[in-house]
Amino acid sequence: MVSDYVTFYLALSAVLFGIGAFGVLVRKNSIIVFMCIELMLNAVNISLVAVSKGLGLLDGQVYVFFVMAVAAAEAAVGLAIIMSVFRTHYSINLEDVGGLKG
Amino acid sequence: MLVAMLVFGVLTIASAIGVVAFPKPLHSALSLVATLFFVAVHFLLLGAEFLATLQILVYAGAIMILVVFVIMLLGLDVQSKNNFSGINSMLALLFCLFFSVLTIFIVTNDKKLVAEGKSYTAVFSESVVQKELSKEDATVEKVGELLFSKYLYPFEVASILLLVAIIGAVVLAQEKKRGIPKGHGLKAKQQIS
Repeated sequence: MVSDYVTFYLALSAVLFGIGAFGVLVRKNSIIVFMCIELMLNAVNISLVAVSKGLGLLDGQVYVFFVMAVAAAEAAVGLAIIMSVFRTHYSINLEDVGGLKG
Repeated sequence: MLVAMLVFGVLTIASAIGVVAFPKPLHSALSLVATLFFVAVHFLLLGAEFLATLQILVYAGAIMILVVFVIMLLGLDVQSKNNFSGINSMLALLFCLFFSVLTIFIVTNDKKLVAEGKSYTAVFSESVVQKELSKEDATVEKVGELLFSKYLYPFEVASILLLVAIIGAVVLAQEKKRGIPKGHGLKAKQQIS
């Protein structure tokens, strides 16, 4: 059921996801964290397309279509939030906006 | 085809590391644009040309332009004094390495591959891509058929989601008339204090 190139693409997707997760955990700049989230979404897109190709279906590509639509919506709202945070705190460093920290 | 897969795979990983490692946000954004282009090439290698086009138009085109606009308009292109050497960075690196290695281990030990005797080398073995991508019909019509028949309900919900996102972005980006000075950034902050 799972062919060879599917394995390669699943491995590539895992590595990209790991790199994106590392970026989200380590970087302190909000916009770079947002970009690493997009990187993780793209890793999942690769694995969806590869497995749907391996199974001979096209449903995975439709899923990727919806993931892209959600990512576009998230980009618009997320960047608007970053702009609002910058307006009040004058900084987008994640260490400076810790007002909710207990 | 296998050579193309490997070469673009290495390039994708290199530009993804660039996204995480560059200190300036703009270099990181350009590195992400490169990563998205390489992901589009992978979509092409997998025979999904509709998605490759969408990837370049929507992701690398629209979303990244939005990000670059925000970086440049807010003046955020400052070098961050990021050091990857604290204990938190080490723990994060350990966790992500563990996750990636575990996933690769699971993926290359598929039961069928183990039965055929090629478990760890399955990642680099002969690709069947060559004979399957030779005569493909265009995916645009087929994906469109699926989208409007089987996934019609998610399609309509996605359009409502985009409407909500547009309204949300416009509401969030409005200026509140409460006493925030006309300029933004460091100069305005110095005006207040």
